[in-house]
Amino acid sequence: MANLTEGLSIVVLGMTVVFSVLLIIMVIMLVLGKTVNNTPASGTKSTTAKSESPANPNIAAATTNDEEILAVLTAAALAFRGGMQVQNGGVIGLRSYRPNVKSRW
Amino acid sequence: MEFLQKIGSGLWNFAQTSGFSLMFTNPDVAWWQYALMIVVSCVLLYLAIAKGFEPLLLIPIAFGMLLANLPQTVESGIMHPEWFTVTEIDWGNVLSHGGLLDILYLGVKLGIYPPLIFLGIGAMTDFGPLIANPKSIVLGAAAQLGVFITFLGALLLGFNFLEASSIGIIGGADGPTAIFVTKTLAPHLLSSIAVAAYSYMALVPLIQPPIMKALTTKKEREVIMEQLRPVSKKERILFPIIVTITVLIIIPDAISLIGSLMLGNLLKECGMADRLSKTAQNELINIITIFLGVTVGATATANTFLTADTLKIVVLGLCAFSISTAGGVLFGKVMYWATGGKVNPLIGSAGVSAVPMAARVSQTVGQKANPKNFLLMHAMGPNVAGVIGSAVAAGVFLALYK
Repeated sequence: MANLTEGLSIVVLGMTVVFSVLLIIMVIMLVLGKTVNNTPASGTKSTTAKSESPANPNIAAATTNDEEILAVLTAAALAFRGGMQVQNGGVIGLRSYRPNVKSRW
Repeated sequence: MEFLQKIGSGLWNFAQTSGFSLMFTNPDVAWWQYALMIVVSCVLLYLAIAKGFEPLLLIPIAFGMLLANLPQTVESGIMHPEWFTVTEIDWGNVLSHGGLLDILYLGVKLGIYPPLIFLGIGAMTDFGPLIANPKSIVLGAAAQLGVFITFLGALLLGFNFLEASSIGIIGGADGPTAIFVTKTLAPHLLSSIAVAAYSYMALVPLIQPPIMKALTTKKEREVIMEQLRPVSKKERILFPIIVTITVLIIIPDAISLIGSLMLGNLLKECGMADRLSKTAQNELINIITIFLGVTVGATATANTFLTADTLKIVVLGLCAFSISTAGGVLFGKVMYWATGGKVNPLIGSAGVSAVPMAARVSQTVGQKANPKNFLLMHAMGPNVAGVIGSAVAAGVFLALYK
């Protein structure tokens, strides 16, 4: 019985210490994440990529966020489309673009 | 005639020194005990090689067990576990008369190998998911529930406090931690606890899913978590330093494990010590794994392994793993409610450590509930937090009973 009582006290003590230590680390890392790195907190969506132009360096550096990857792909598609417009002097859909080789000859 | 007599007596003497003869003449170990231990070793080898159960560790452990359980005399013995379980070890005798494994076992006995393994683990571990979502660290704490509940269960089954601490730490699902605690508090249980710990770690994909499914609803398992943010190099470098200072100020007894783990991680993340980092995560950890596995396996002799205590430890180890899994999942459910359904409770089970197997199990179970679910990186957070959590739990036991 004495063993059980002491054992129960160690269960409570042990879990308290483990939780305390890891909670302290959690708080430090949360603060660190917000101050040192100055990036959005975890679990929040980044909105920079969606609202800014393709020339934004955030987009160029994007590697992991879905929205940023989507923005990079959109920017690439827009750039490609823009290039086609300049080259052909008008809006040309990628599917409809068929160079007329014979007429050039 | 005299020549034939000499050959005959020579053959007789040779036969008497053979292992086959020793098997039947050793007063301490019966022939069937030798045979049973050889069968156990071969079964473990089969599981490791044919079934892929933690082969990197189970092969050295099983082979060490085989070496120690082939009949041998005291003089020719490769390992003498009984020399290390006494109160006052005769170090002179160990060094002058010890076999190969006796000498290598000094690394276990003196607590050298587990921290060096942790150094390598630290150099291999990416704490990025944990840094990106620090809230997941509490799941690594919740999953230590099995450690302490099993400690209580071991006390109820008649083990003393030191033995109960060593058995409980199996629930941390961390082999080096279990070995480190056991060699300090209950060295006579080392082989049983090591075999139980590594066997259950290999069985994580079988043990965890039924518990995870039983404790969660389909709606909870289907939750898709948002993408983790990128982690800067500055955070990655500061993390090991912060953890080391925080943990060791509170629990100095965890210094060997946490200190080594974080040193390995700092070598990796700082980017200035690539040679050291590569050595720690390859050559060093591989060499130490061989030494640790073989010597721990060699402590499993018939007299120490074929006991009722081993059976109890096997049962308690299973309880420890199951309760730790349940603790993580239940705390995951708390986070699910607290965040309004943004956290998938399945990532809680990864808090039992067993990197990265437990995280993979979270991913598999989550994807079965919802094929669009990708929980792996989210589960890696609690998973690596579990490594820190189990080392802290070990530090608590060492502080109380060392």
